[in-house]
Amino acid sequence: MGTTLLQEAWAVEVGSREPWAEDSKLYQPIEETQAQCNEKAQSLAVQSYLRMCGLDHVVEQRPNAEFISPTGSVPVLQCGSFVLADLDSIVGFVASKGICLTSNLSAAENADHAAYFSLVQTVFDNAELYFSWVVPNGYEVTWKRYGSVYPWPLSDILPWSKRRAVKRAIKDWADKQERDVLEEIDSCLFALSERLAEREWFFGSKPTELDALVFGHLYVLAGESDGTPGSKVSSLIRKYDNLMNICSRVKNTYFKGSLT
Amino acid sequence: MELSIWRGEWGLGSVSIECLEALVYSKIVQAVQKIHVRKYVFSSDMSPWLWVSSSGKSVVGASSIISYLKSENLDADCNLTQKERADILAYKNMIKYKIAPALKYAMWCDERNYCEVIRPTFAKIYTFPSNYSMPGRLQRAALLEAWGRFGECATPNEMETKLNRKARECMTALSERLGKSSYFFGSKPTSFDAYVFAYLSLIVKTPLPNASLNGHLNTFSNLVEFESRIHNRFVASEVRRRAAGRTRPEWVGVVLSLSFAASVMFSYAIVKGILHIDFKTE
Repeated sequence: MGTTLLQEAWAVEVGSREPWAEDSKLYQPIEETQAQCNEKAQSLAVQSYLRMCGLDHVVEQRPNAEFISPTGSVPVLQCGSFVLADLDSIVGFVASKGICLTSNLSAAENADHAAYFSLVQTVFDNAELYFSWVVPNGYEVTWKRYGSVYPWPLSDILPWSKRRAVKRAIKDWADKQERDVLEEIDSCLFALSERLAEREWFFGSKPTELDALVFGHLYVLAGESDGTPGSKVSSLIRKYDNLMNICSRVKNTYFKGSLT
Repeated sequence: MELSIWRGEWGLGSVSIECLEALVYSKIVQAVQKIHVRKYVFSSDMSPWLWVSSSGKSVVGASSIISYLKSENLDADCNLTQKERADILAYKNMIKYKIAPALKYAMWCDERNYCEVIRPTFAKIYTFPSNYSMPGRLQRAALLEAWGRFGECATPNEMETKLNRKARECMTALSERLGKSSYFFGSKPTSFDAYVFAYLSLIVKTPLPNASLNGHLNTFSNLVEFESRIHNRFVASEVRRRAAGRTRPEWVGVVLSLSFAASVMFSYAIVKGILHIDFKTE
């Protein structure tokens, strides 16, 4: 943990001199049987961001992706000799190579972009963690999936300790009632929908990190099947037509049939 | 309507962020007739109270106070468009998750700041005997929160760097959004101005020895000017009034201590039998 700051600074400093490695790899947990909702969303956001920038990468599924990561969060990008996690640091790293999706925005637009980016990141990330780790019937599914890659005593112990850690990390959310969480998500969706209005992308005429992040979260949340705690969120999302449109727009433009 | 808030120090309207927000908002809409500074403080709950004398109702917490005042037609945000309201939600969220943790860390978790400034001040604010226990309890809560976020093995230096970097990102965005205008949205102050002011004011005015957060803020001159503009317009009169009301004439202290010493000596003399008083009924 103590070295992540240094690693990041080093990646930005030294990485800027090297071109994008063609054989870059993106590590994520096994999507079918292991990954949680928030991990899937983050991974999808990073993938769509890299596709928007036109950077080649291969997605690899590893059961221990969480432990490859320098910060403990997934997905992990390996580009040449650099290892980075989180959309934030990946965006910074790509920007150091001179590729930036927000460079043609004005200063005020950049400020708004940062605000919405942080809104989407905190609200959806915390809500996804809440529904998979805090809510009892969500945790029933989560502990099976999270423990599925470990042998027996570990498959019980690790989900339990992870749940404690998550509850500590999102303390102000973990104390909330489910109704309040849904309300918070709805107000966030409403704000996004107002901001997007009838335009194609959130800022300017081209997609930005925000579009990638919104797509990642909304696509995963809207795809939650019935009966799971997340299904209440997906019915909230379906109310906003323009947000559903932007999801299908990103999917059709950048994923061309590779997503089911 | 009467508002009850925590006391201010260091020239602040109040040491609690929530109280400061409620104070500024109630001044913006000119709703509150009287502002009380809580004299006896025992709990860790730093929220303001609004006492509505007409209905005998009390409202607790800055956000509930503001929504109550809005429902009473005292709405500073009525001229905002839906898009601006959406922007406000996004900016508020960014402040809550980027500036607030950094400020909390700087005040409560930084060892030097806590020992030299925060603990003595809060010990003064709290009423005996909670002045011994409550500052420590608040610090433990803040430390647990920071450890929960970064894991228990994170070094203080690393946590501070990360939090300050995020706070700086947020300040950059706020500064760009504010630009050269007097208020964030439109030409009149809104509830968002009250919200931002509460955080900025605490960062500017708390005299912390390790003032890295303040240093970051000082590079954005328009935010600092915004803070002093709101302070002078809405809070300064309150601070002055309180400073004037609080000073006690010097002789009161002298008389009190003299009379205490005299009564102790007198009772000692009576108990030891040096002095003898007889009450005779004739």
